[in-house]
Amino acid sequence: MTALSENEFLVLNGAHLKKMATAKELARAVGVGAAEAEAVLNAAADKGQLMVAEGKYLLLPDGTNAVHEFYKTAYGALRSNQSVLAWYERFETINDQFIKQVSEWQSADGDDRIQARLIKTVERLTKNIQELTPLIPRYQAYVDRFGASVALVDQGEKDYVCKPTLDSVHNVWFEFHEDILSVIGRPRDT
Amino acid sequence: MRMAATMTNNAFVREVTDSDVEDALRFGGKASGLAKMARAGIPIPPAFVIGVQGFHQFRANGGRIGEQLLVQVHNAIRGLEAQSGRLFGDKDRPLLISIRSGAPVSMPGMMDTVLNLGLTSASALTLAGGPGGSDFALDTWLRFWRMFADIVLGIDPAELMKAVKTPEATARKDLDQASFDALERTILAHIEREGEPVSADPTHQLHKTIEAVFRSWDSARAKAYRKHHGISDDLGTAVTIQTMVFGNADENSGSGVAFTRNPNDGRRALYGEYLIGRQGEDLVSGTHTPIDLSDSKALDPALREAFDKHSKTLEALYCDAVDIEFTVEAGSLYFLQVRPAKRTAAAAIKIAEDLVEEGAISRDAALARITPDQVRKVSRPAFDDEDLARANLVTQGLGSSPGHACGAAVLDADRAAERALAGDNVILLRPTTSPQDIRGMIAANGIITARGGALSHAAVVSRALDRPCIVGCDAIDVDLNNKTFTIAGKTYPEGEQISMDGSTGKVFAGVLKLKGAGAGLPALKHLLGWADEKSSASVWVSPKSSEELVESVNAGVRTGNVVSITDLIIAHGTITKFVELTAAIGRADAPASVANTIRSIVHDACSPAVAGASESPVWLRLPRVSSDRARRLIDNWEELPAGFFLPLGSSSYMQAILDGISAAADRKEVGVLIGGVSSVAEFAAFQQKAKRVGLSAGMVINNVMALDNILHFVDSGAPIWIDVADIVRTVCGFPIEVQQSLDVLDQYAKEALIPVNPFRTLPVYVSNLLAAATSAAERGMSVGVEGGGMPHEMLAKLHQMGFRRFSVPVGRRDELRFVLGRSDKE
Repeated sequence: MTALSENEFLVLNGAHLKKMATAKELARAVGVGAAEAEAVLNAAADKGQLMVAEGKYLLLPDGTNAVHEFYKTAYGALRSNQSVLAWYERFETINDQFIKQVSEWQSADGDDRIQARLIKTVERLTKNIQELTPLIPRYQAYVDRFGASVALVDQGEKDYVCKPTLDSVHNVWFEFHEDILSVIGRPRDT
Repeated sequence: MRMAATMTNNAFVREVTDSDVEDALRFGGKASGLAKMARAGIPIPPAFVIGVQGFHQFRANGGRIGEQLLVQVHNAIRGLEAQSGRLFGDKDRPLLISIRSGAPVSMPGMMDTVLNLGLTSASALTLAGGPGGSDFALDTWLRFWRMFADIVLGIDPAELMKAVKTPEATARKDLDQASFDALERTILAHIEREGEPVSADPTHQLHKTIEAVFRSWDSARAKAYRKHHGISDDLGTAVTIQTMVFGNADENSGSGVAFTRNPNDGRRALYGEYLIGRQGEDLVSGTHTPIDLSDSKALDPALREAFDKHSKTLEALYCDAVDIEFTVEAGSLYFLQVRPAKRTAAAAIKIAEDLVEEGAISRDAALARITPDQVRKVSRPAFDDEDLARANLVTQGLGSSPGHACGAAVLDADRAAERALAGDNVILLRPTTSPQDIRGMIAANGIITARGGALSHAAVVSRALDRPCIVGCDAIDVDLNNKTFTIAGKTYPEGEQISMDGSTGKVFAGVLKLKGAGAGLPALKHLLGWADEKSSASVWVSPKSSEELVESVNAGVRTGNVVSITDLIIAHGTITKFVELTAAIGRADAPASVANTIRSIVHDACSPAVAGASESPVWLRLPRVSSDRARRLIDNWEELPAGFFLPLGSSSYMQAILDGISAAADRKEVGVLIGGVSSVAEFAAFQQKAKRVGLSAGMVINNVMALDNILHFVDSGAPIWIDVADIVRTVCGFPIEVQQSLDVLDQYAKEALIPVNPFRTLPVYVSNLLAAATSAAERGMSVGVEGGGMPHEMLAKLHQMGFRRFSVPVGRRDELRFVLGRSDKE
């Protein structure tokens, strides 16, 4: 198995985190061109790293292994970096807050006050993520995606809070969580 | 004297009792609301506001608060001190304040609220010695620091609290100056470590907070929001500063939430809860037993009188029912926040009707206040009166979200969701509910909890989900381990069938029959009457069975019925045989017995509908062998002779059906509608056939050719229904499957592959095709729109074009009447 290039990783990691997505969605999420993403995906499909179903890409075990392998090589050093591990401990607290707020928001029919608190938590996370971007530059994509989704929520598009089929703040948060867990070498069983 | 001159001529700062402050553009929405309340005599905690002029000066001054503004703010603080008898920053009698942003338009990304500003380690300790005690003092103080850190300094409040855990515990235990000072030092040290300059001085904190409000005007989110909505960046924000009051100050204090009308059913009666000696948050957590405001004897008479008086004032101010957050501090009542009350669909309709009666709003305004969603919600099933009279009452709790439901009592949210998924009717029965139960609550037909009050999680969430809910059924003992529940000594297993009424709080044994849509609720009947008057539309129904027809007639439908014979045959359970015979009669060698059996199937399916319709007109739609439904129903459809697919292609089939209907009509006035015809001669031939067996003839237009001939059909005097969805679909060349899933076309339109979803916005080509039909409809001819396949928004547009007669499934009737009553022709 040859190691993934940076760009291959970006696209396949997108598929890894999203579980099932079109080339267009993946390209937008990880910040590469649609044509390039498609080329990477098709090449990976030829190698048996992923499959296509109804225009959506799903990683196969070989692909998942390749993604994990890249994480290990690229971020191995960070796994014993005390400031990164401390950052993750702080994330767990804010993550608990966020999950609680999302369920409150759902129970309260999207109440505006709860929504304001929830978005505040998202802003808090994006601020914190910026502490990591010197070490993991691609994390800027999460900051941008959170910003775009929050702007839509602000405009009244409440679906962008937690609708699973959109780039909602909940979805972006979930992907980020999987990502940081993979970086520090604690991938979740999914 | 010099100061007074400054205040009037060049004042950035005003007390909210100043009538100028009602101008929201200059003083923000929050202060404007407070000013209106103050003028109306509503008791509010003393407050002042820095107008947007102050913001402009801050900007002009390079993002710093100028000397002049500071002087005015401190003068205004002196005013609050005089009114409250407390001193800002004082050790013994500290004045605490809240600071809120107040843009003329509220927008996301603006700074939120900072509460409890004004405490120091010294005054916090004094507070701890007061009637509220040490927990009150520390909670109040730390709450300030959390909010100040979070909102003004951008520091994570959870991390701050973690960092001060140890000194906080010590302060709670030791309750002395040294431990309070140590706690304050730790807070300051943590904030400085995070890189923010900070001070324990309340004056410094106040300046920082005002600056933070002003700066938040230019936050990225607020800017993006303004850009999107075309709001000028130069508008600026005001800052409202208000004296804090405390419901947990002593035993003569408390806080609560009041509704001027019952938010469940809309009745004109004070509703809500009051907790003595507590802050508002304790209400939501349900940890203390509140006083029920609807019990007229429960509240102190003076408070009661104040509520009655202020409720009236506020309703007049808002022209609506309002909910009120209030606090009583040492015997004085303060209203903290007032807004139009959240309410159930049934309450919304009742309140709108009452407000019209009281002369507060017009009928049009009443219609505008209700949403189609709310009409849909109240037009839903209710218990059969006879069943209810016989029902066995098991227990009664507090009805907290109205509606009738029955099903198997299930004690766990996940199991409830699973059983509902399997098709069972389920009532979720829990000791209490929490956010973890949400899946089960959505799946259940109703929710019952053994504990909790009107503001518990179960009650609030059920109202939001619009599920019937009963809380506080303390006679029910739920045993989660053994999956049983006990009421009055009798134990039932999970899965026991029960029925519930979410308005009265009554729980019944067994299954009570639920009666169809729209029954009951007199307020809705009135409202829909107004809607009909306004729209001058006549909404017919297309029942799917004789039972549904009879039910809707009994519920008072005086318009008419368009009923598909195929639907009646399906409901009658004879469709398989009918389909077989349809295929058989299409063949050349069909024996005569086939026609006889068809006739009797049609007769048996139609006669209960005809008999049950009493005075209400009935038009029966003939089966159409060429339809998509027939194609799916009939095996080997494609082997039928081609001529059979034409409307009059098989005279023996047509005759058998007409004979069946004629027999069912039994000399009553019954009409038959034929679909698929395109030419004038074709329809004339059909009219002859119908006339011969004593039936009136009409048609459903579902092709463009017939639409082009419509004036000829209209001239024959026959009633005509246009299936606009069919026209749109065939004009666009879509298969039926696409029409049945509108969101697929929405998505297609979103990708800009088609300009609009033609089932939501009529293509110009189609509206041109409809021109002759609309003018006929406007002339009062009998032209209607068969609306089953169309969303209400489209039917409202057709109404605007001039159509006045519509036919929809029974369950959509009330909502459509309402939607048409709200749509403006002009």
